[in-house]
Amino acid sequence: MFRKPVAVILVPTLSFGDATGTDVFGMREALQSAGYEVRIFADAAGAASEAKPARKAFSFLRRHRGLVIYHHGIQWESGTKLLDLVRGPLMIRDHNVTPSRFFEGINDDYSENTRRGLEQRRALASRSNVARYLPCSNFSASELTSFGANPALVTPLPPIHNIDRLINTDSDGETLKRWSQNPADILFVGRIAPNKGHRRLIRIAAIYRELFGESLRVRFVGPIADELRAWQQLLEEDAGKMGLRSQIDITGAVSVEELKAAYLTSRLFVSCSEHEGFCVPLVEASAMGLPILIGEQSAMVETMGDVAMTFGKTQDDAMATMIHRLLKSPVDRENVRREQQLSMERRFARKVLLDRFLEIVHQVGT
Amino acid sequence: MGNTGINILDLVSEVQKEADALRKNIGPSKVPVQQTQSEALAAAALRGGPKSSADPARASVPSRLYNNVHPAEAELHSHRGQLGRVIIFFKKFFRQMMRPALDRQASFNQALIQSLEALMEENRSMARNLEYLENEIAALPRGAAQEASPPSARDFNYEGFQERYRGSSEQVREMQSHYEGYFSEPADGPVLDLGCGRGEFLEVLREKSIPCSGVDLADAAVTFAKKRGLDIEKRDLIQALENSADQSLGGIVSFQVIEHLPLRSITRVLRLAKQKLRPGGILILETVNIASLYTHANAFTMDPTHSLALHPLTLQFMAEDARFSDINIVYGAEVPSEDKLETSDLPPELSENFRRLNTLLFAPQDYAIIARA
Repeated sequence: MFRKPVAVILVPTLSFGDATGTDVFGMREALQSAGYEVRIFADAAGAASEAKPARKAFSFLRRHRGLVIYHHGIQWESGTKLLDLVRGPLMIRDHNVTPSRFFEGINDDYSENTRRGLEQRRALASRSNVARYLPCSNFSASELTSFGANPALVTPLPPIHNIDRLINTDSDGETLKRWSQNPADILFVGRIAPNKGHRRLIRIAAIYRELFGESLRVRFVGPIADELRAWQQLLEEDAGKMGLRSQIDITGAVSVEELKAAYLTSRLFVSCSEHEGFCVPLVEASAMGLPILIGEQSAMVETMGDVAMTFGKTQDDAMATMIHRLLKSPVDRENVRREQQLSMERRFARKVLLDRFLEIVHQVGT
Repeated sequence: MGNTGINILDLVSEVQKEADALRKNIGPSKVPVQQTQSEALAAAALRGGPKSSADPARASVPSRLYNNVHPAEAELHSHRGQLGRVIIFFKKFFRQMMRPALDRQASFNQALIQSLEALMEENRSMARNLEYLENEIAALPRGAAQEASPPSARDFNYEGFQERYRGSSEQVREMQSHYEGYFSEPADGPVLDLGCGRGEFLEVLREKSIPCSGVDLADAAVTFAKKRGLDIEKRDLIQALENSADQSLGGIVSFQVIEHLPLRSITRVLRLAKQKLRPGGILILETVNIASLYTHANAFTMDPTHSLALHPLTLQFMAEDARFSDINIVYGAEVPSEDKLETSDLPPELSENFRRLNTLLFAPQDYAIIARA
């Protein structure tokens, strides 16, 4: 009797909709299409029906010798213990870890967790039983090799996204109606966190008003952790000090349907994020037809590739002027949008990523 | 250089130069330099602003509960020395015996926490919606009603002024006649006339059995129109639009009204019109043609309640921005030829110059944006 090869995916938390969860489900889909029986184990699962508790992985790994893919993005004590039990090929999926310095003075738990997450990332880079590292970008790859990972085993692979789901989803009617009445000139999608560059974007809105005498409506879409409410408060203070409070809309977490409405009712996507491992919203925004401007952050510049419209920290005037140019010139806006969309589609089509992933799996062998 | 012929690096470089030139003209920025994160946090703390939420009391409830999901994973303690070790041994033994029941309890706990999380998210979402509504209410424009309402009789006898200079009903009907062709049968309705005055256009529609209604704020006009059996209400035009169901209208018309509104209200009218018209429905907005110097010197400045002169291309752009399609500018109300510069007896070279002057000075007095939703 033939048995399907087994693949195990270990992930600290599994949720529908976030970048890691979407990547995990993408890998499962690819592996299943290649004939694997896939088991997912997670410590905490918003998508509980899709995963078994991580503690059950201890006995499972002792009994099976299949491929194991370990996702690392936050600190995970019991996860690293599981790795000692792996008997088959081990792949480390590296989602990068936000440096702890961003959380210092805001939340000690976050600061400590990210510090430990980075320590674990360093330890993973020097493990002996790793068959392949899968960092989400060249930027993350270079960090891994600087921590001691063998460059021959490091193969960058962008996160497997599911933008088709966003494109094919109907936007939430009520939200679409509400935001259509107050469309955003600038949209940024990402959690409210200190590394995401919201403060610079607020300042750029103030510069824009100074240069052009007009106000920008800025919409920040993304979840706000209770532990980081202080940061949200600081953003609101910043906006208030610059007289922009009514122009800055912080929405909090949204559903896929509401996210679609956000993209449909915005004109430009701007990210000044200071730390990203890849930045999936750039691919989403491009697919949804928004021109994209970014700050000079390595992973984002890499993601945008030859169509990156990048502005360094001293180029706030230029970024505001480009925003003005694109808002006022439909021709430039359309040209930029089209160039960026073609490039992103070519490089990050989901099929391309799934095929690339399976190619790596076959190289590693089971 | 990509598929569209645009080079993004060149564009960035060009915009950088533009920004440098702008900055040179405007002078140094008054926008405060962004403080570092630690500076901003320190400053906020000094003002009694945001505090670190490291305080356990502020941590999210679910994250604390998650640590205690499984009853069998709680640490066991005893303060009884050697005897304590025996007690702990038995506790562990019994806990192991109860493991299946504790596992079920853990599953229940997990489900409970997830439900709690969902409720908390719902609560946060409702709080956000509430905040949004409060902000919306606070930021509500005073409304076209207040901003464009006719001046009181004490200020100015506006109705008398209108009666004298707006022309008779017959004249108004004549001026509006070239819009009649856009509505020919009952299926083209219902049509809403914003600022319908005495209801001349509504009468035309009624004759074609096209369902129609109108709103206006002038008491005399409303009374007059009602006496003629027209469906008209004294109401603010933005309120009238807001109260219409989405995609319920076949046409929205407004003649010589938007020049009385502030820019913000015109934008609102356009957005609401797009929302309330069914796909393919027609919007007609007629106003004074400010591109005609004759009109600027006469019709526009004569009326002290005119607040905004909108160039035809500006209104066209605003309609595009509100996502209308098939937008046309239609000019009407030619300046009487006797008011124009006489060219017939002039030598050809002068005649051509005067013709150009006539075009500049005496362009049609009105224009309308006609667009489809």
